[in-house]
Amino acid sequence: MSTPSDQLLMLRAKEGDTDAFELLVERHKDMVYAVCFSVLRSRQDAEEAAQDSFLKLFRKRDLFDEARALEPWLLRIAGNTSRDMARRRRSTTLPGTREQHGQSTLELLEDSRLSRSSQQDLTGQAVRQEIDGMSERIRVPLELRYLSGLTNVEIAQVMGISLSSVKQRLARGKDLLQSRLAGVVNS
Amino acid sequence: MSERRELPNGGLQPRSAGDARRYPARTERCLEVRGMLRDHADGDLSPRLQEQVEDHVHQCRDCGLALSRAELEVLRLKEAFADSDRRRVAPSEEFTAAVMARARAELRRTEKSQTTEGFTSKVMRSVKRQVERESRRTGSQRMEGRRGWLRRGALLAAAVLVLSVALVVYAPGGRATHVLVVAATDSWVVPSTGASADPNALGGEALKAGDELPAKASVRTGSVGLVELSLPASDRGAGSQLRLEADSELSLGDPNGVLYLGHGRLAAASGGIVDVHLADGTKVVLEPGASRLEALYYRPFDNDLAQGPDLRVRLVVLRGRAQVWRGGEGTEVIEGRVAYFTTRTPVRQDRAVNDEMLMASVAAGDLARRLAEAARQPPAVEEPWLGRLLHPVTRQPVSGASVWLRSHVGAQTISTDAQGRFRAPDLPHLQDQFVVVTAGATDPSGGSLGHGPWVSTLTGVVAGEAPVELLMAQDRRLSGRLLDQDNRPIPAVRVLPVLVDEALGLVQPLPNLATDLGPDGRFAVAGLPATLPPQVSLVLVALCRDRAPQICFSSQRADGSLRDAALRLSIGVTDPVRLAGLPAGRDLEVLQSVVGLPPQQLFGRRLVTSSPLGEASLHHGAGATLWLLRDDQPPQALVAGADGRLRPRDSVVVPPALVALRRGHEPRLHASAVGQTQRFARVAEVPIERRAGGAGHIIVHQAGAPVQARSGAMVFLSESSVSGSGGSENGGSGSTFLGVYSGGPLPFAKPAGGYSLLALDQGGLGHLLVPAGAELQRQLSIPVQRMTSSLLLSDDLLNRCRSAGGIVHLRWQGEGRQMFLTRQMPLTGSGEFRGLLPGSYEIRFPDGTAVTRVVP
Repeated sequence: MSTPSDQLLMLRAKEGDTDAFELLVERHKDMVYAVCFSVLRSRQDAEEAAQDSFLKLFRKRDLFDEARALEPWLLRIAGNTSRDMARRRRSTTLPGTREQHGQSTLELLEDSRLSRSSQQDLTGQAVRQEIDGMSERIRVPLELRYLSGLTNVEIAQVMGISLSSVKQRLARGKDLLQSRLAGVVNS
Repeated sequence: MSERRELPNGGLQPRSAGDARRYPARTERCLEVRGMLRDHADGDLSPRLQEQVEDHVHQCRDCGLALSRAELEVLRLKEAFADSDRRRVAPSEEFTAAVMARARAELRRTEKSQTTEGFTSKVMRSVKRQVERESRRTGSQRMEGRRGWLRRGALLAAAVLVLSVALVVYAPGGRATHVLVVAATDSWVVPSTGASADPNALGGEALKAGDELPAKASVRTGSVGLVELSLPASDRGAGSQLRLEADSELSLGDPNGVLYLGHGRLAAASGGIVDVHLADGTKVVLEPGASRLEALYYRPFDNDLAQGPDLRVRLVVLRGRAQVWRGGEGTEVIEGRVAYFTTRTPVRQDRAVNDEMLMASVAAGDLARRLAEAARQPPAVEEPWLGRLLHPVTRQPVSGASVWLRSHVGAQTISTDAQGRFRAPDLPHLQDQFVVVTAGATDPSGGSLGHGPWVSTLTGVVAGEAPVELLMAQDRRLSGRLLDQDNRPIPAVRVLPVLVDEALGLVQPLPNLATDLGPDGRFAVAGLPATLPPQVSLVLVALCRDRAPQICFSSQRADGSLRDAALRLSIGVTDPVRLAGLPAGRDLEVLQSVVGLPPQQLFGRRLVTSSPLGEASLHHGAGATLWLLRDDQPPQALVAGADGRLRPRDSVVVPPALVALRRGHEPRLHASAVGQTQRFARVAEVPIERRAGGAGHIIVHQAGAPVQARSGAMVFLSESSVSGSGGSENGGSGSTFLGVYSGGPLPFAKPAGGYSLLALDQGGLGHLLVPAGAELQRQLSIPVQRMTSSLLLSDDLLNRCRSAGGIVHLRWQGEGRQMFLTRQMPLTGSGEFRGLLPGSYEIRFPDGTAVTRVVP
């Protein structure tokens, strides 16, 4: 039996078939969660945002146009939801706390020599640390592209920016990575 | 939509700045191609452009190198994530079920509301039919236009009627009569009013009396709310009394000046006079003609309260709840809440407003009616300060409870009487706090109780706006529950009590009292100090696994200084000492930090980072080593025991590890034997002579393809032609650890002199390939031998090993080289060292003796 398409499942969901919607959730949850996690960097927040994204999809199911693909729309919802949540979190998080994945407050007081030294061990982990240290506008496209495997067009939908902005940010991220690695190598 | 680029002219795109420096473009065509290299590496080019690029790079060496670099970039990024923990990040198992539960609830709600709409529509249709019948009866000769007008008027009236009925019918029952204060939803957000002089402009839209506060109104740190109460003078009779009390600062404002009220009370007393009781006992009488009460939160800059018949006072509550009390013997406490909002809208720019506020307007509904009722009762005796404790659910008075009041005159406990009332001997001061304590409560679920009206002690901030219920019993227990904003228990949280002395800047965690949250979010911290000095406050810090630690309770106001103090819980800051942490059983992970305690004071402390990963990131398992690095002293090792406490290294049995110490470098964990026996051998050295100042990358290839992650295979760059590597703790090696084989590039700085590349593998065979590059183009092949030999110890040697805790150091000598190994011999078993290379081994025991054995 062939797998029902997203469009068909949405059509059934519109008619109140929650089982069809459940199939959609199951099908896309990993991708939606990955997008939310990239933006929010907290499992709990990502879980919440991903759930909210599907709920929004459910609420707006009547607006879905079966002539179009579901995934871009869902990605855009997930992107908007997680970015909204990130904004809210920023406004409610106590000053001085960081929610960044793996970054401790103590590490903020990092010693330059240690920092240099750790950079010499540029394993994949170190590259990831470099990426972690980048700003959200640069980091998220890199992660969505090379971790989640999204295309540039999909990234643009998630982030609510233009395709050219995505390319610029990816290039900027790579430049940053190169210059930092080169700084280590040449030091 | 396709993002593949199709540029007929080859396209001129901005090229990477890094590539431009390294490989300068020589022709216009080079420039065009450079602009497409990254897209090519990402596979985003159309087949035609792809072909064009490839044609060019086969002819142009520099562009070829630049393409290699672009491909390397992509490879590096992909591989960096390929082995990442992030690969394993996935929604929880209950994810789908949770979404579907919410979706189905949503569906039910929608269906219900559709039913309601059906009812309304039905009524409207009926009204419409009636109107049509009426209009037919009254004469069809009337003009059509006039009939239309009448119809519209009747419809409007009917709609108002239906809405009114709906308000009555659908208002939540029971409590509706007790709720006077109406709060707002987000739609009540008041836009910036600039420098408006009209305080009303801040008020927003008021709901109707009797409307209830949305159930989700929650407390947000740093937020403000606004209560507006209308007090028509005509409805105030003799004996009526209105008292407002709030959790935090109150202030009064009027168009002519601002009075800082602090923790005080606002009372509309008998005869229509509004009394304002200040924290210092001052009583300010407002004119009877006041029809509204307003207060704005401002910094105090004027203590003159201008009076006048039209004085309006607006009350703003910062963090907490505002309560409208009708005091007096046996009367009911009328409680309302305000909504809390945050905004970036500055209010009244003509005044010194430090806080950004967002306003919600609250109407005081049937307050007037209640005041009129109260007016028929004898006026209440004014107490210095009076509160009443009601159960939040049953609304019954809580008698025999204790209120723990920490005031400016000291800490004391006040009991509530049979009516749940309690009184303080003195008016609270601005800085006073109190915590309500119930007597002998045993079940936290039964009596969540909370906090006094003037205390901003409870800040539920774990999930941004999580409510926290707390119950402090007299048996020195503090129990409660942490919930997220949807009232679901917060998982994976540990609650750590901390004493904070703000005056001295001291922070004293009480790790022995730390407790984990139960699955339902409940916790109970027992054994708390019975009393605290006035300047010391108790803080509960919630340690969530995926979040930064946050204060979930404080007996002080949760201001910035407190939060900062809690965040450097583990360690304060005065005399910097650098730390390098090597978590047990983990590959090379350096924790760096600045701590302010002398090393000896670190002993016995439990190292807690404020990382979002919490303690899990560093301290799991015995043997995590913390190196104290100070410029003037040799590195000193502390070891975390099984409980995470730090001890001098000598006092604990440490699983063996190879740690390289090099002068001027941080310690490197080369291998740890935790969990498994490592087999490392340096089996090949390939001297490479290069020009000074070069740099490059090494990529490990096997059969022409990058090698997949091979755990534990390590590459070193040795600055001398032959030297010990993978060294021991006491042997500086002069080798630089380049990284672990993971198939990814290993960048390094080439020293001025000759150097060698060394490979340590756990067995297997690997080849090192130095890819195309300006400096390194020679292919290196480094065979890595399998370590399959074993050494069987005699009973005598085995006993000596075991008496030394099982840890022995081995020195291997062979082919003119030597290697140090540290092994832990199991306390049972045959006494065989496995995974060795053939050769001569010197077995060194902790007592300094050594024997030599040969492995065939």
